[in-house]
Amino acid sequence: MRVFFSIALTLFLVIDALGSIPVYLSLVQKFTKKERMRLIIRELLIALGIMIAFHYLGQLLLSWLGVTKVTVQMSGGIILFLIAIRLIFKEKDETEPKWSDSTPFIVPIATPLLAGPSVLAVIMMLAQEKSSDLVVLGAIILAWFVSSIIYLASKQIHNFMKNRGLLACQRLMGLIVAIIAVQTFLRGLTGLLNK
Amino acid sequence: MINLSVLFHTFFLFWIVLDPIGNLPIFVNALKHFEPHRQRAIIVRELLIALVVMLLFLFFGQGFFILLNIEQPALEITGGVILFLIGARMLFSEPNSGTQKKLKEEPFIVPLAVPAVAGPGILATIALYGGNQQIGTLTVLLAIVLSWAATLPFLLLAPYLKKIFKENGLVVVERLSAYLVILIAVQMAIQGLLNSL
Repeated sequence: MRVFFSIALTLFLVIDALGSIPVYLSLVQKFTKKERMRLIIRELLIALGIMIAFHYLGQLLLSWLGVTKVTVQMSGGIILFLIAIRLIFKEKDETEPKWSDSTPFIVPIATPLLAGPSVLAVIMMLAQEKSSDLVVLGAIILAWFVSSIIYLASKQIHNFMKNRGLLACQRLMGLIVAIIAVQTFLRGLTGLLNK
Repeated sequence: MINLSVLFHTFFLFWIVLDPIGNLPIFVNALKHFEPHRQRAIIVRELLIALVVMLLFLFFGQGFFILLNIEQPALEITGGVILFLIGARMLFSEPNSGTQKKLKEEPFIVPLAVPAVAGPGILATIALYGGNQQIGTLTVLLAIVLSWAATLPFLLLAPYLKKIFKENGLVVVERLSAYLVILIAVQMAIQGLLNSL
């Protein structure tokens, strides 16, 4: 149970739904409310599909490459830490890549905004966890579900917290991701030293 | 109900760990581009955020970290590495160059509130004392608020240091204090590493 929650929370923090709200809103501002809902539900489902596909792909890849648990923990810790650094030190006016004006389909909302490279990397890293398939899958769905609610209510959340509040959340979450990253790395390191 | 000598002891320990004087260089550096008036506003805001973080940690911290399987060394190492990055940015930023515009960004939460004030040291101490049944949560709560209030006036001195040292003197102070920040950061990380091995 503890593993389940810790995986779900890590994924939720890396998906960074709160931090993506400003970008998402600027992408869909020209649509009516109804169109927006249809669009985001479709993109959310596609993102979930991508995440689950990567979960199985990750297992396959890792068993192919024959990497050990220590390797996955240490590299996973480093990757997570780099993600965290980006969340923590992101400048307010950092320019996002410009996406074309056409109706978003898969790119850029489903991926990379929702199921971005960092999320997929974390999912692949989790594939090596001892815990059963079902736990990881459940955690993916839980993290996705909570993020979905945030996306569906993004307008209200944005009105309530403004860009500054969202930035604050993102930074605090980044700090938590950094701590999780270091803990993962340390576990790998002690595993290596005890060998 | 509240044992005064225990309260005083806890307060004093928290105040030492909050390290208002050691934090001064970090504050001076992060705030160098702002008017004294604005600096005071930022200091008060960041300290309030730090207080909120500390109180959140007192009430939810332990459960949260137990849930995530996170141990003390991870907190220390993370705090150390992040402070180190901040220190390195301070040390290698050229005055009057392009990077200055970037640094002019108002500090918000990172690095002042967390991890400079509400850093791993104070959070670990809070977790240690908050979990102690003999001391009691109320005493710890009071000690946090009191030590926080005793830290505020020291950090509010930061804007005046700029007046004393003038522009050029401040550049020297900046470099020196960036070095101090790096020292503090490495000490934090080494402490964590030693505890973890």
